[in-house]
Amino acid sequence: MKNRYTLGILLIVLLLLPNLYEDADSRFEAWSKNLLCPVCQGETIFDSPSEYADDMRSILREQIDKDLSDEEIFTYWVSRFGERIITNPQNKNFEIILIPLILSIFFVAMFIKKVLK
Amino acid sequence: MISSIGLIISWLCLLNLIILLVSSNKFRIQLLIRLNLLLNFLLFCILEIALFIDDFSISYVANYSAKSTPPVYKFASLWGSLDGSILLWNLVLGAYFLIYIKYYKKNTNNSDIKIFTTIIIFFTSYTIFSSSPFAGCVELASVGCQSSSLLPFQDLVSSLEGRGPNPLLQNHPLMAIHPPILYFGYIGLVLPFVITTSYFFRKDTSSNWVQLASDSTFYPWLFLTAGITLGAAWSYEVLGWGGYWAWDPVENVSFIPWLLATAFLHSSKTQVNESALLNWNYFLGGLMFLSTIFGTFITRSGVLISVHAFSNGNIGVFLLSGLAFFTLFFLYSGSKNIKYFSTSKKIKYIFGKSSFFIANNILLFVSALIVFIGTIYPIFYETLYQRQLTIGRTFFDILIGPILIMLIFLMIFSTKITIKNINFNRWLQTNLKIINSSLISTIFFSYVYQLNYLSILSLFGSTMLVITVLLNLVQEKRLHKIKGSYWSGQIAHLGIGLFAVGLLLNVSQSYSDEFITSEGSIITFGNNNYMIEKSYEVRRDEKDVINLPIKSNDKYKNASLNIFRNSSQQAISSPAIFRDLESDTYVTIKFIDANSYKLIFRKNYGILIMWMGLALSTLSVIPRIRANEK
Amino acid sequence: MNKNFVLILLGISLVTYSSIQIASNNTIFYYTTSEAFENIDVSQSERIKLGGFVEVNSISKTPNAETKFTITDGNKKVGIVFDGFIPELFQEEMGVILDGYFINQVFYSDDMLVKHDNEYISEDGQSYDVENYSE
Repeated sequence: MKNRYTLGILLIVLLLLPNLYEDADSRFEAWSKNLLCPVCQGETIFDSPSEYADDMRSILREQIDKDLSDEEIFTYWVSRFGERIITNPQNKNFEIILIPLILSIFFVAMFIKKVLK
Repeated sequence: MISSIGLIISWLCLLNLIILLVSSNKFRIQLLIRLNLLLNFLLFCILEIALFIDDFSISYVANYSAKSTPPVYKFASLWGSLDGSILLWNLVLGAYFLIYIKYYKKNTNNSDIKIFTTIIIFFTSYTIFSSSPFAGCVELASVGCQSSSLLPFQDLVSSLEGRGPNPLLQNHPLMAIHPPILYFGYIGLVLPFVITTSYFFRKDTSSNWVQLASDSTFYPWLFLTAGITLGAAWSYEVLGWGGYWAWDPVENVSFIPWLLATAFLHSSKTQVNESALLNWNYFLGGLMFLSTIFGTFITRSGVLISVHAFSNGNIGVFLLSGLAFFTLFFLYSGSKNIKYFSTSKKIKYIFGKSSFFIANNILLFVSALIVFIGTIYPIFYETLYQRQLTIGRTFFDILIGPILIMLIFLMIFSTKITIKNINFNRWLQTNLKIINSSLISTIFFSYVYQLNYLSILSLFGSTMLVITVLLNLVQEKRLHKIKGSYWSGQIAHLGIGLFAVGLLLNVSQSYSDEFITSEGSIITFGNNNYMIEKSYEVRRDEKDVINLPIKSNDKYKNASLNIFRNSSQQAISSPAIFRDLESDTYVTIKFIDANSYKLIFRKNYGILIMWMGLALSTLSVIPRIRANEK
Repeated sequence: MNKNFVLILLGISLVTYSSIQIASNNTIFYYTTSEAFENIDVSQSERIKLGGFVEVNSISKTPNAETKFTITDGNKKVGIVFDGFIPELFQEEMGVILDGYFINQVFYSDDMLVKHDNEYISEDGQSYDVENYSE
């Protein structure tokens, strides 16, 4: 029984864990994961080693340090590079979930069908 | 002369096969199958001789080898391009034919022989009627051979020098063994194909065809696992682009048969236990080999461009017609047994072993389907809309990754699985300590590595899998009991679990940076200092190599740029790798000249763990071998 | 058995349909230089593959150790800035396919495919097919 309580506590800790470290450097990191490096293989400026990405990161650093709003930063980049410079994390998140979702529904459907017999 | 000899022996090969096709005497069949293997082996040796003596009167030698090519790569250049690789293909098929009659032929009816012979006749005909590696050169190109003849006794011309192999194939001896191992992998899937179609063609479904087919699939599966691992290792350690898997079409077409074979090894067990999934097993049994032929078609017909794509010619039409023929035959044999399929039993226990195997089959098959779709999408699109495109690797990463995670969680239950329903309450009770320790470990490392939710989930699953199987192994104190397919599976699962841990680290933690530097500088990267020394050049016959020594913590490694002569090939940038358990520092030259060096430093996490996991998976053969030692 | 079969078929169709949708979000199109101009809104807004022949007298170096050159398909020209090592046989009038991005009318790339076969060059700027390329 004691072990089950431990299990419960550990699970809760695990679920809340990412909140602990999402703070440090957050804004800069979040934005650099949002901006694509135009000349790299589909990498964000967070991932890419290239000098071009480095230059972009310096500009972004300055913008974050100057406390520019998200909208101002967005306008700056999009006006120079077009909308494609911004990645679409929402899209990617949806795409990751889609097939597991379909499969899970399929499994559940098969389970229900079996149980109903 | 070698050209004529090779061509004539190829004809003899075909003649032998035709005689074999109409033979019914058991001893004659045994003899002719051996003769087929001998003739193919002879062809292999003759072409190797031609390569080593630089016989440029043979078109293939002139176009894919050169005087300056080092011996190891001359040897490997036999399969460096299409025609030679078909020769290797036929040799491996011939070897498997012999293996078949020695180990897997369990009855006296010869329909299996005829089917197998037809398959080999098909591939041998290509080398006789379409293109052969022994074709003699009749017209020279500026370097190498312009056009060739399939007839012997022609007046041949010989260029002074050869074009040499594709530089990508000359960078590491691993190139010498990676393709043959892969061939012993996916070509071996001809065994379950022949077994299933021959049994069904004769409507002999009462015998244990699925066990036989499953047994015959294991070693091909093993070779395929080893071959794919070697390919990934070679790609990373040698080719210098910093990755190990690019979802390149050639990689994909070796992965699809692997997924299907893994699925089949599991679903066949279900049939052996419960007489269920009869149609599914027949379907998979043939699909494995058909996917191999399809994969060969995709990559060799020029229908797609990739690093490995060979040339055009008639190979596309040829393979496609073969694929159509064998598929139709496969479907026809199956259709003769509709009544048998309807006797398939239902799974009794929804949370028993069979259900888990079905779940794994669904996941593996869906993965194969997704990889298939991603690989042929460009072809369809171009056919429909006349626009050329490629599919970015994100497509595959995003879809296959989560499925792998689901599979990891399924594997956790593999240790104590039984035919009857798993009692989840009892399982929880028994495994609570393992779950808690896995959670603690996951929490710790998730914090250290600042993982996101998906990574945390993967880490938890992989950790549980590794701990569960390790404990299972350790608890089995009687070492002599560790044999058979159960333990084989356990070790394979352990390997995959370990691989998943490494992969997760690699994907979530790695980073890189670019530096423009020069001789004598020190680069600080990832809490380490790297001293860049002076570059020096080494001239080899086939290439110039610019070496850049880098020193860190008293260890010297060279990053190098391999520039091939006479090549439109981008130089191959081989990395300097400083490795420890947690990560590699991987340095490549992006650009170098007298004054400045442009270097890319990558911190790749988890690589060693990934290689260890994959190597462990191939060691899963050991319990199987022990089971056969009686 | 029939009901099972239908369920399976449904599942496969769903997976196939979803995959195709997601694939279409992850495509990299190929354009010749003329096509890039014709479809300027699309070609300038995503990562593409651009093909053409290297123009005579157009190759030079930047201070950043990048290579600048112009490619053309006989009709339209595009300036290229390439970051990386150039193959030994890279030269004028050679066909190349570059993987990269337009930024303000200039195309930046770090990945190049060069035509394998010298004899394939057409002089009247005909669009060539993507075969015969090697990396």
